[in-house]
Amino acid sequence: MIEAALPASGLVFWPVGTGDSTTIVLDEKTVVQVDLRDMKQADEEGAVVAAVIDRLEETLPVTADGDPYLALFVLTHADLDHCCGFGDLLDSPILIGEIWATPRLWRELAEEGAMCDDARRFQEEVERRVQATLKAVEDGMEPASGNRVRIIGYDEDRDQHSYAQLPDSYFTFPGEAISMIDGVDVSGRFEAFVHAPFKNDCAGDRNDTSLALQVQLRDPDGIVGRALLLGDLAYPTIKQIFDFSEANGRADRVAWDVLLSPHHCSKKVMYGPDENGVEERKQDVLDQLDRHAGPAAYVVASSRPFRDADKSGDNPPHLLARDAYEEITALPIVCTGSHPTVEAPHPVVFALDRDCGFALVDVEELQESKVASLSTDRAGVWRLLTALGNTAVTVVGTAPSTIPQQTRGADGVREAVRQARGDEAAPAEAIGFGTE
Amino acid sequence: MSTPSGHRTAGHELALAQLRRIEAVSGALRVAAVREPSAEHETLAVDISVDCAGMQTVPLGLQLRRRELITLSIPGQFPFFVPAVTTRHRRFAGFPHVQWGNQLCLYRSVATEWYPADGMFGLITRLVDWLQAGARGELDTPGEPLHPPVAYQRADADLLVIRADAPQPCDGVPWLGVALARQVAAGRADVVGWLEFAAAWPTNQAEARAAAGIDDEDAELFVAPTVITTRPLPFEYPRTARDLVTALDEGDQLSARVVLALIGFASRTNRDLLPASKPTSGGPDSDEEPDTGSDGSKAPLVMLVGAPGRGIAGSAEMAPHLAGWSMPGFAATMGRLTLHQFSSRDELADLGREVLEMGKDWLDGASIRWARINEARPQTTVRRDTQTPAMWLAGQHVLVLGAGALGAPAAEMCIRAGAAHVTVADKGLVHPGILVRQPYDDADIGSPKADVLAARLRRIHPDAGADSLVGDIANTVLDARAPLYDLVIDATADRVVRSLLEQRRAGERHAWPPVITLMIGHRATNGIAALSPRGASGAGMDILRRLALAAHTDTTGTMSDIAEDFFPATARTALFQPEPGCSDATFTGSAFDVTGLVGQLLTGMLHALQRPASEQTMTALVARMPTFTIAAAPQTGPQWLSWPNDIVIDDHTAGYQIRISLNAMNEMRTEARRGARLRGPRVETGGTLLGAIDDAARVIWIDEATGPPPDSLLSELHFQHGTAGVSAHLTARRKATSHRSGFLGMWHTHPHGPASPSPTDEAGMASLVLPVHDGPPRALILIAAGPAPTWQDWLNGVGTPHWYARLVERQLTPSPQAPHESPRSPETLRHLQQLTWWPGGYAAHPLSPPTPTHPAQTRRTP
Repeated sequence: MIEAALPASGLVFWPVGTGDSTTIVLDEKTVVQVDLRDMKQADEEGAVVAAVIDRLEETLPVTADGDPYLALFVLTHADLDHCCGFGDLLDSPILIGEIWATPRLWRELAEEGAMCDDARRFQEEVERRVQATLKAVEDGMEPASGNRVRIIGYDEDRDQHSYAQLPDSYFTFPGEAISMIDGVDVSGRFEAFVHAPFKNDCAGDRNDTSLALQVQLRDPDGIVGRALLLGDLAYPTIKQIFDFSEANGRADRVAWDVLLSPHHCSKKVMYGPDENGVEERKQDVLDQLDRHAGPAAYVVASSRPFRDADKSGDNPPHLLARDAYEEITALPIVCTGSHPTVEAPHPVVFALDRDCGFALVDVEELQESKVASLSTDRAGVWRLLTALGNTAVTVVGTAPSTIPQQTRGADGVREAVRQARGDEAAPAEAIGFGTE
Repeated sequence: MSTPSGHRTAGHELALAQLRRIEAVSGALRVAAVREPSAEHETLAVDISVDCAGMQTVPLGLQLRRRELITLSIPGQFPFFVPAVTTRHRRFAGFPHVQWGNQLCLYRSVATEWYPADGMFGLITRLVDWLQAGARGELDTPGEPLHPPVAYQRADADLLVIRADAPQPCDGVPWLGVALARQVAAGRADVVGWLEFAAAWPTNQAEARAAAGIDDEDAELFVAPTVITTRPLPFEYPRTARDLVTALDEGDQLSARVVLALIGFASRTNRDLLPASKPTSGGPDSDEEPDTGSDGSKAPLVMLVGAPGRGIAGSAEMAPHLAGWSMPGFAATMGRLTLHQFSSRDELADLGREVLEMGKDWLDGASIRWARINEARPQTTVRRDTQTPAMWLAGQHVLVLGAGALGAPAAEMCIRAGAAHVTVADKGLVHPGILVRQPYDDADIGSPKADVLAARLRRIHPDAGADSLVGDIANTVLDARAPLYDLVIDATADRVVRSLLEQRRAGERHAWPPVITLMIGHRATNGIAALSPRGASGAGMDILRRLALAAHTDTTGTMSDIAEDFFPATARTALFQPEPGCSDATFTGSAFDVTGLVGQLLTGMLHALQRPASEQTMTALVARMPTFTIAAAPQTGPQWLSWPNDIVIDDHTAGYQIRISLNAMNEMRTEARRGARLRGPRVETGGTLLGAIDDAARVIWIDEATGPPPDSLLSELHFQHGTAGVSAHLTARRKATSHRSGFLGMWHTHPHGPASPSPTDEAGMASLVLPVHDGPPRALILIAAGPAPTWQDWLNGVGTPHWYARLVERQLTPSPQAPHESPRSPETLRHLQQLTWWPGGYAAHPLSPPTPTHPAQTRRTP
């Protein structure tokens, strides 16, 4: 069953309810975590979620000291659904080589905005690394793995914060690409192109200051997979990203084979107010997403399962957004909360693929791969993706009862027409008439 | 969503409300965007997102996304006008039923498939059906007619009617040649034939007409260069010459050089066929209008491009779809000049090559003006009357007697149904009054109807023959041409014609084609038709007589209206004479009535003709217009009656044809069987015959035969017809049949004997004694006889006996050799006295004692 072996490089989206937790595997030694949501208590929405830190700890490559090693942790923004459990991660044996952060953390701290404990722990850790780096620089050295930090983006108030003293090489701004991780040049295998946060948005809502990346993974054969990780950005910023990239001849920087649907499949990506303040669908950004999608592009909703119908004011995931994405791709929208089933979600694994950049690895293939990895000693090549993909997902709390799935496709439309015609309808209950 | 612009109509609101209702049920359909009409009379554009998840997709089918965004452009007059359905993308371009690259053709026939009342509900359902079929690659379902490819043309483009089946490329080689086109009118030509490149092309009009099989010497033909490819062109035909030539080249290696040379050869031929009346300058600077002819010819230059694409989805045989490229005049010259490239003279060959390069440049930049194509070739068209009884008429030669209210529409229907030839016979002229219900024009007044009608038939279908016989129809019937046709329709409603036809046909009924006789009631509320198939014993007159008998004797009352309308007991005296003077009395009725009845009657008759010949019988159809009140019309639907053939025997001495109805023969057989069982196998029996004689048609009908009256005497050698009850029975039958059937004569049997009169019979006939008073001056004597096996078979229901029949004139005075005075030998007399005698009627025992009087003595003299 050696054919079942997975490529070395790929992406893993964890079932963590409505929140982001993305693992990028460059190779057997280099793993990147973008955002984290690790919940030890029952999910308030009753979702089945993965204990990501435990799984990483079991699976990550180990350092010479025997510690699990995470080469890079990237936080898009400091919302709880993106950094929940970061404190636990710090407290775990896992060594985090480098951290990427945005200046927004310092602004929030200064403005005494509401920050969750994990966000504070993150900010403290970044601050610690800034100091360590400054010290190393002062000593004429590079900071050691575990102390590295990179500040991505620009804030007007940077002069008020310590990170401003870092040398320029520790900063990256929108429009630039990064291919160094924890002091190692990974340019043949990995490149992260920074689209946002924009300077102009630095004082905006936290979501609008999310870090937005296009991640390209490349294997030795030259196969490239492209993923867009846009945090919790909404329509205006995403539109700007596409406009800038198209205008500046950087269409390849917005090309995608996997799109982590922003803000957990929020409709705010493609719905917004018109000139009269009435919400309208923004077809232009959908057209742009369509234009830059790969031949077999996947959209991932990192969220609890979709509801059967959305009500006004519901939080993501939104069916409106899912439906809009479905106009862009021939492939189903992959929801981490229901992949492959609502009752037993599984980490969503994409492996580098010659034909479509990233290919979704189905659960059976993962399991076959696991069997293969146990029965051969070629463990090294595909151990990581397989292992991550096969990690057990803990049922925390109660599994949600099966959501009644609406009839999809042609039958669904026909049924809607039938009901809308109403010619088969009859009064559902007795109705009284009278003068009093 | 935008806010209403103020240009929305009630139709827009309805459409949107219906879409919202569908959207409200589930997310299966979402209204993604609404774009308001920017001005009055503009469409409201609605983007809808349609759930296509899970639709089965095949590699060659539409590659659907999980949801498809579809734009509905809703006209203000919705739902009376159908929204256009488009996609924002062009992923569906090239698929069947996708026009302009993104317009989805949901309805083949809006008139029949679009339900205004169902509005958007129907449209969305149809859209989903379309998408689902497209994903499965079944937009052209196997067995369904293919939607033809689309070549976009201007409304004022030239018109080409394709009448001749197009040739097919074979063995993977494209077909190159010319179409033979007939210039029908300015801007219209009909393709009437095809000539392959290697065939001999005509050099003059006579050869061209011969090649096309056209007799009309006024026809002007020209040739149109034609290529028919082996591979389909894109569903939407190219709009530029470059794209077309590229497609031809890629598919079949038909290069610009080949195309130009073909144009050149065709142009050269057209200079011979249709030379220009005055020399034209030619050259690229000459006339740009393609339809005014060019290059020394007045023929237009149209290049026909055919590609597989017509036929039935799933079938291997695909007929070419044809498109016509109307070319500018200079293309003809250019094509012709390129032919010099093949010249052996170097300087001419150089010129040819130079022009070829110019031609290529021209093709590279030219846009294509597609001609309008009207399909009329059997290969690709299905007649609108397919699978109807009218199909019987295809290719038939029809003689229509009468060109009036019945005949004129009948003749027209025949020619429309595809009859190969229709002859109309009538002596009448067009009068102003007949325009009320006959298909003539005011300008026709004073002209012979038959001529006018035949001309009209030729206009309807120039390829079919139509001619006229102006004059007395009786002569037409007499001139023995009827058997040359495949069908005769007697639409004269004329007794004389009917009678003559009956008489002419009687002797050669197996040579005559089927005859349909049409009649309309005196107020055009009822119609009757009679079908006399080939070989049937009777024609229209015979069948109408049967119908009259059936209508009068019907006890259920369902035919009383017909009896009263067509066969009244007393002649109708209030005749309708439309014009003063001695104009023909006719019926009152409108064009609606007449056309309606003729249509019904002929459809019924043709339906009957569609049955196998062996199953065809004499048939009558009654049709009724829905104009009577219910109370007055006990039976309002059509009624069919049919009769088996009569037994036909001829009385050669008098020249009459005797038709014994099956009913009468069965009555005789029943009596003969009963007699054989009761009285002995050789005892003769007989009885009275009822029927009628038509001296004009020279037909004698035997409708009924009764058994022997009770006072008859029966023995092995003699049958004596009694009189008891005969008179009363005849009176009753005369009354019942409204005097259509009365005393006709007598029958008797010669069991196991010859079918010829015995000396006694001869003597009897010579001085016939009628059993009734006031009897007619003549009577029919019918003898049923036959040798033992034949006789026994007949009694057992197999075959017929031998017959002898003679119409006997009544003697005004007793014969000098009266039977009772006839000499008889003593042996005969003794033998007679030894016979056992039986009474007629239902008596079960012989007369006793057997001492009869001399049988002959009982016969009365008149």
